[in-house]
Amino acid sequence: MFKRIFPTAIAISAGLFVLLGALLPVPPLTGIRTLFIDWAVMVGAFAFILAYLQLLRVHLTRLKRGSKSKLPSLLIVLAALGSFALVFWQGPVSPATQALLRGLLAPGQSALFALTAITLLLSGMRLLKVRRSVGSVLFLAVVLIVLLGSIPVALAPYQGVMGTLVGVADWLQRVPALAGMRGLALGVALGILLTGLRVLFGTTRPHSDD
Amino acid sequence: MDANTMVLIAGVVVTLAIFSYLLGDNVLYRWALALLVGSTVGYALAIVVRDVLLTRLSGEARGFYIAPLILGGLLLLKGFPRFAAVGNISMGFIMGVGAGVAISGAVLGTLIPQTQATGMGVTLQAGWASFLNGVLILVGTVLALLAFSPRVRATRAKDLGGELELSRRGQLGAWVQQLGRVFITVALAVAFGGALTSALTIFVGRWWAVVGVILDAVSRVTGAN
Repeated sequence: MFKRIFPTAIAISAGLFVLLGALLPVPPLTGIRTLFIDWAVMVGAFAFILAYLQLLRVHLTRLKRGSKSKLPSLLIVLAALGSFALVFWQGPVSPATQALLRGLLAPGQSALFALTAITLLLSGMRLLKVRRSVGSVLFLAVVLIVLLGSIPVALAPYQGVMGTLVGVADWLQRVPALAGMRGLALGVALGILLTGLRVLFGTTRPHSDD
Repeated sequence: MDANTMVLIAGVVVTLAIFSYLLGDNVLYRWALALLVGSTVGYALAIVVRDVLLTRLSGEARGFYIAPLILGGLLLLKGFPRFAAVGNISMGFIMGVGAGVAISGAVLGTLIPQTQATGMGVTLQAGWASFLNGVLILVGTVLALLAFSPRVRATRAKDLGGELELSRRGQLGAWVQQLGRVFITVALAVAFGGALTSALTIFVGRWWAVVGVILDAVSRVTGAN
């Protein structure tokens, strides 16, 4: 009962109220929709707590077992507990929290994102080696045109060949890329619609450990 | 040394530790990553507890939040294998609300506006060039959408499996797929170019920060401005 019937009944009823509140925006339905979404945000916060505790449990178990990756696990546990205590007691705008943000989180995350530049460059260069096809050539040609077309005007004045390249890059982004992206977005939306309807009809039950 | 300088130096140390991955997977990179993962999770949880839970539970309307509080408590039981099934009730609530929001978002936020925008682009009001671009966007959108259509793929696969030559329907399906893929390839290439540009910009920015701190340290030591 707890495994299937209750969760599915709750999922269907909550989902229908939320959907009706969006499609028929009349007083009781919109109020229920807002309330349910607010509640879901709060339950989501508990899901975050659960994930946090699970992370701590996994790494504390590793520490207990004395596995190879002991120090990274210790660092994760200490950093997770320390940063939680600091931000929780001091608040997000305190000097200590700002120091954590500017000294660790912001540089660390931007450095990680910067590393993807190298990964992307290498994968782009390896593409022709791994898969030689018209699609690969087209992909790399468009990437090259877009990159050349985004060179700042101060470095290369938009005249002659450079002007044509910038025009082509602009057209590629405005017309065929927009069409492709729109097709993908519509496909994703149709997929979401279908999956959502399956949850509301109870044919898919991601919540019941099936 | 003031606090600001220490923060800048810490940022440079973290940046260099992460960039050390360029020389290969190493201990320094793994330590920096562990520190970053732990701090990010702790920071995010503190913000969630303060801004989502405490704000709601300390407000005047806290009586409204008894139900989600119970659902949240049940969800925490998922951490104990013996009582994990009870947490499915809370998961059901989250999934149901999520499905309702996703369906309404997909229909009202993507399907209707994107279809409208595609149709409205086909107009002669802004001249022939704009009209042709609009037609190309319309055709490209439909072809890109059909490139993933299981029916088009099934027709093609059936014809490929059954006979050496494709039937007319199979040929049409193959053409639709090929043309749709061209539009998708261009879209992904433009996205790749954009991601590469922004990643490279941040890469250069991080190196500038490192160089800035080193130059600052050198100028302090030598006493030069």
